[in-house]
Amino acid sequence: MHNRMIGGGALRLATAIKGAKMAELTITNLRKSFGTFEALKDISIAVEDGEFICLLGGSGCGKTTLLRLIAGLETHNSGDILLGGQDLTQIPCHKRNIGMVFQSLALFPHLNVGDNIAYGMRLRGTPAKEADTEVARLLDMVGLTGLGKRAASALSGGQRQRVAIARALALQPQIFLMDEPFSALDAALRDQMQEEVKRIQRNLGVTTVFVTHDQREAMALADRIVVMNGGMIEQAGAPDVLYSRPATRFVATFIGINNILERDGQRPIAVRPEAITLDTKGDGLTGQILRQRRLGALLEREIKVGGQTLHQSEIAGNGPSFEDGATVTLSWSDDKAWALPA
Amino acid sequence: MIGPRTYGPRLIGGLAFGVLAVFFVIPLIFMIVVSFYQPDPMGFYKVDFVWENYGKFFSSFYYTVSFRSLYSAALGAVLVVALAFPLVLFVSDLSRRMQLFWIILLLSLMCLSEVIIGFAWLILMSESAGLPRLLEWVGLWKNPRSLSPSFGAMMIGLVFLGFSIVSLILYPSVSRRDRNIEEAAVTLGTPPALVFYKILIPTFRTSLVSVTLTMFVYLLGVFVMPTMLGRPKDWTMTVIISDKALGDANLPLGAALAVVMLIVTVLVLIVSALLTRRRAT
Repeated sequence: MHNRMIGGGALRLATAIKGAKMAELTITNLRKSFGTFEALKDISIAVEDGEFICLLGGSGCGKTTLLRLIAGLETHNSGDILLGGQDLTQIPCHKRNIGMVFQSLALFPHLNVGDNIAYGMRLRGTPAKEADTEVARLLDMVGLTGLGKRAASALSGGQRQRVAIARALALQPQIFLMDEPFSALDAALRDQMQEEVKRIQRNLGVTTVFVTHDQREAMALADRIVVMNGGMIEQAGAPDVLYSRPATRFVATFIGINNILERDGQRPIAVRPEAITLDTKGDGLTGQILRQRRLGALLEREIKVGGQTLHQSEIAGNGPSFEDGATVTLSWSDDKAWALPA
Repeated sequence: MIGPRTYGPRLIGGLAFGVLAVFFVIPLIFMIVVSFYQPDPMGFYKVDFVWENYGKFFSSFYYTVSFRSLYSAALGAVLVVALAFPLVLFVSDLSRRMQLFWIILLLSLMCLSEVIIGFAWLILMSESAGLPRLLEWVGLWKNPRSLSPSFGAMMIGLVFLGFSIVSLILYPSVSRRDRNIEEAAVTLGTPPALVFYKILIPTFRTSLVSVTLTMFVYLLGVFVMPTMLGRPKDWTMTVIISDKALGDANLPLGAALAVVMLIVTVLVLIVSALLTRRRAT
């Protein structure tokens, strides 16, 4: 099933063909201002049941505000948020059935691990026995078997992440929200947590909205990435669609490294570094190699073409080698050149 | 190796220790010694060793008064913290400018002397000028009487005295708290009105207990408020002690009462510390 690659429109078509499930979370014309600052300008997006969505963008792009509006931690100015057909904007945060993991994790410092996870269940009057069994099951799920009696402060960063995830999922939320939960972890641990979150999400099939500024993280996790900029959605689509067919110049340069080539009287094109091959002869653009660096398997080059510095990369040893300063001809196949809006 | 050994900090520490020894420990020892002397109406005391002064403590009047001071100090401390903690929470959520306004207000309250505050309340609660007159004017009180001296008036004085201190002690940790913890509680189904009881009080329990104990000890030693705003039967041990020691020139009895008070205070502190530690684990 890879027809999701085709993008938003095709995705809706695919779901229509499947015919079974409605969009679980539907946001229409959502606006939010803080004073004179417009944090969200007319956001509309539909998230499918069980889908994993990443809101991706730089700081101040509105991604966290959007998440907090879904959670009910902020009030919107106008627009609609529907979850499972229910108008969420009329329901206060504590009555929405959501699970949220915060950037700071926000574990309750006065409760131990088990009590943190059981908090919501206790509040709802779940019998103690039942809650205990559920806590044990959740601890198993996040790989913290037997640590229920520990103080939250006695755990490592990664373990605390897991507690926060287990706590958010304890009430079997309709929607799972995560606000840059892994930004404080080191790279290796972050990779590991990403894999685990993905596994848990797949097993539970819970609709998930994950906020991140890290495009690698978004690529690794998301069924669909929503790229945001200045309070608006630039593009929403599967990771490989965003990578190979960016809808805007912003997306083209925000996701990965890209070369934008302006053309007289025509739309500019975007060519990825790995799509470019170099030669000493032939026709096409010529340039001079400024720098080359070998990063393990990858060889990266910067090439000066006219007034512009272009990036080229290849698996080391797959192409001819050049000296620094050498003049080279750049070429790519037409299907790798993506025309951007002017 | 952290670095070359310096003697500066040790010297300062040693000096502080010396000052403490001279001005606290020595008078304390002197007080304990005097508490066993014979009172002498003509000249403060006669050197002796008698238990008589301690015996007097257990005669009902002093006994009652000592428990009354424990009671008023404890009640005052609890009231101060119960009022100051919500206020600090409220202030910490205001804009920076408004927070600064409140901090300066609290700091300036702290600059006022106990005597001035006492007088201010005395006037406010007096029959001729204060709150009673206002209530009469509004029509809520037919025949207004002065509200002081009374236990309530003394309590108001004590709370007022401790309020800014407690607020300023709590402010730094409250304003730096992780607000996401409260939000997390709401996302897990806590009604916003219950976040204070279910999350904020338990989170700050340790600081609340320690600041209450600090206030308790502080209010035990307050002298001016009880004499100005309290009736003689509301007088705290501090007032009785100075009354005995200076008014009746009975230094040995004053010393004995002070020693008893010290022991009781230390016991109360130890018990509360043990209780909180047990609950923390």
